[in-house]
Amino acid sequence: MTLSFEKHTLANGLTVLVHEDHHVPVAAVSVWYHVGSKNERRGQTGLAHLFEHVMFEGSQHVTNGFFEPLQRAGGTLNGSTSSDRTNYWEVVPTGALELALWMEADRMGWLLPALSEERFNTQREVVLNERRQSYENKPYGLAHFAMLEALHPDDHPYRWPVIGDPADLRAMSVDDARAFFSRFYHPGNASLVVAGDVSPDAVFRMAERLFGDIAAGPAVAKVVAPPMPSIARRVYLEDRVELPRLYLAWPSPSLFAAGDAELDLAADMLANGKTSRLYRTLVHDARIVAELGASQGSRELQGMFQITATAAPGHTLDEVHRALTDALSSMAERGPSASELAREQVQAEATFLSRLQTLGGFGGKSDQLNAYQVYLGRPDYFDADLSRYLDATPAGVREAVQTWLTPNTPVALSVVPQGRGDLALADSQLSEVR
Amino acid sequence: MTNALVPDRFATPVVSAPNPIRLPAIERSVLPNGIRIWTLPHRALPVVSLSALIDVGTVDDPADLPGLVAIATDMLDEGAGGRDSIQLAETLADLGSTLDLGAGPDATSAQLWTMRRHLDASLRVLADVLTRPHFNDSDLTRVRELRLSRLQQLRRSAASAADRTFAAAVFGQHGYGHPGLGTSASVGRVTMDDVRAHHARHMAPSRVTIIAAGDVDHHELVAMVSDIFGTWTATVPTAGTPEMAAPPAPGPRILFVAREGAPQSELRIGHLAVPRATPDYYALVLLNAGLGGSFSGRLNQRLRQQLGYTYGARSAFDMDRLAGSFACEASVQGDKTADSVREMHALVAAVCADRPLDGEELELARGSLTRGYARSFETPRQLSGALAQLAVYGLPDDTFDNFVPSMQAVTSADVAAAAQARLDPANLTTVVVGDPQWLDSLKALGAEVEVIEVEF
Repeated sequence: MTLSFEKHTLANGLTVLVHEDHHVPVAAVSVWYHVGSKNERRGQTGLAHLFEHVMFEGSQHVTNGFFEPLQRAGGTLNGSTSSDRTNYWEVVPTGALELALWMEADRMGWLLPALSEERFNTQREVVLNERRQSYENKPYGLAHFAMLEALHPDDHPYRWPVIGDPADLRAMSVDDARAFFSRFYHPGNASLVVAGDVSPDAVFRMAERLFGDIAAGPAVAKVVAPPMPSIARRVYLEDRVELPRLYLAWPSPSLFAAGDAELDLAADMLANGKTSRLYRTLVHDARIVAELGASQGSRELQGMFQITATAAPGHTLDEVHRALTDALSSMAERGPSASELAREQVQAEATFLSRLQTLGGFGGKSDQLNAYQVYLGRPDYFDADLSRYLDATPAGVREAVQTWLTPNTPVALSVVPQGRGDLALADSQLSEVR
Repeated sequence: MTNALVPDRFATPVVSAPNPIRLPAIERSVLPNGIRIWTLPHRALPVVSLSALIDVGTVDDPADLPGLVAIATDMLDEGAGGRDSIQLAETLADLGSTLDLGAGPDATSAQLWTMRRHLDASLRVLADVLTRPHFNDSDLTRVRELRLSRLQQLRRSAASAADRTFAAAVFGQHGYGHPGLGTSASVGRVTMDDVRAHHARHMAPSRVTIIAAGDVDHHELVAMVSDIFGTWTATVPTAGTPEMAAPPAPGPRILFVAREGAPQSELRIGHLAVPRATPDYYALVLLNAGLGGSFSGRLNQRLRQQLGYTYGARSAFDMDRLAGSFACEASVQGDKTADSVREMHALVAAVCADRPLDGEELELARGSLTRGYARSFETPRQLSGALAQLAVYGLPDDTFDNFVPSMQAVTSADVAAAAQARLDPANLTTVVVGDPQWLDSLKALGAEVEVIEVEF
């Protein structure tokens, strides 16, 4: 199992990676810019994501927006913004590869002449509606905001969500977007991957011709996060929900750091799926929990490990909390059994195999090569990444759980029905997030 | 000075025509007990996507017990063949395989994804699940409780409220009118006898089609299935076309579901339409792509890209085996609720009257549907899903090979005719789930507004 590639770096600093796979006559393009909401500052939260929207609206030589020409050619396309990076992708029939690359080059080099106030303002409204649809009007949708705010110190770049604060979004101007583009959108802060029915030499030639004349931009300073203080907070939110839900969170290792894979495995063994410990004890046997999950949210500067559990009707969050902390302390004391870990490792193998099925889009082979390139400078990391999971030991998982998932949970967030603050975990303070 | 031999750096590159795609032939066998086996080879990776399709869907729910088919499906892997619920899950996890059970409107499916080397062992678990479920009372109690919690949670989802209201209004007492998950009242009444009776009535080899795509040889799979499922001899009555109440005649209605304090309104606007077997299928797909089936469709261009009222607006013809519906969908900011409804109505009306899709729009829609068609067949899961469509809707084997030529043959007159025949702008059912403060602005649109409660 491997994810092969050839690499070439243009004089202006643009990394170009090509993965050859001729099973279907399509080419996948992925462009990552190493900029996300962590590069914003207070007062400008949401700019990275709003800017991503603007990138689809047109550039100097692509006057009608990015969807129409690519859809006409049979392509699909999208983009996304995280705290750490912004990505754009197209999957096109092979004969439209040059079109897709030309368009990506045009918005990397010639976006600003097309960036109008009108386009910016409309996309601001679209983003405010995205925020309403994906968070404000969704049950438990504000929990993520409350959790980020409770867990991170005041000046931490992960304290605000990618979607941003509505007041900040409303105060932004098209000039802010222009400045943002000049700082972060240039070849040296980008990485291009083409995967599919292509030959590497032809792609390298095309990339040289289309991207080679874009000027290298200013170096982007690394974002430094302040240390995470030792805290133990209990907060709650009232929301349009039926059942109270508890969120427990800890700071955790950053992406690919020591303990990251171990905690990813621990999350599954603790609370994901029918084979997990908490499913057996709380959903299957005691029936006090209705919904359950855990994740090691690996991010560049700092991870966040989270367990969520929704109380079954008639049960309290305090009851659920006790059960969760019992399971955690048992995992911290004894670690997983050899057979529990072996089960996760077979699944890791299957997951990595399934990750090789798709060329493009979110999570496809082109996206993965870019992740390894942008975060590690190591596009060859696929096999090493799998090895992190296959080489994990019960002792290593136990140690990671002991080190990071401390018994004094840093944040316990309760989300309860409106007017039912009494259902929150005892001694919780009302969060100010709206 | 311009050199004519050097292409202009800023000229839009020319796109060459895509190569036509052809799927390999589907290989088929039928076992003596009636199980049908279809395979499609795809050997990019040593994995197999296999789907056991059972010819029973939520459309077959008893009228007084909506949600039964979904509960009975859930019960299949809550203990079977001597392993309890968790042991079953562990057995699959130890193989790195996944098994997802689901009851759709027209068919129930058990979808297995497995590494090639564990196909035989995974199939044995699948056979236990389909043919030897335990159906223990304590498991039913838990499954029912979890379903009731889920239904309780869904009451707070604006999108679920809108979907339920729309389906009930459009299909009425027809089998597509009730939600597949049922209601708290009906799910609370499901007993183990109901589950057993459902299983006895519908689960038998004659109702099962096993579809596999990936790194698998047909004859090898037939031998495996024959070995593992060959002794299964249950018989059930032949599945005929179920007797259904006719859906109500469409009429202009506005249904309002109150959601106090909601910052957006969920909209569903549409009516009864046609089943998958409709003769103008290709014209409708093209029509929908131009109207609202893609980012570049009129609905999204108008409501998102020009007005900024929403994160996205779309439309779809939902074509099932027995009937279908047409709906425009969006979640729009509260103070633009009535404006958005008016815009959507106007766009549906225009496309069947004074502003049919023009040549540019048709070519954009046609290109988006045909030129990249190959990417629909990239993974074993996509391939087994495609074959499942053939099975569920009774379509011919050359359906996918013919898709592109059929789409190319559709004329603008065909699309205009399809719009006039299948869209009914005078009889749109409009569902709004939003803050009651927008009620008056909806009343000002002219139609009577019915304020209703949704049952979950």
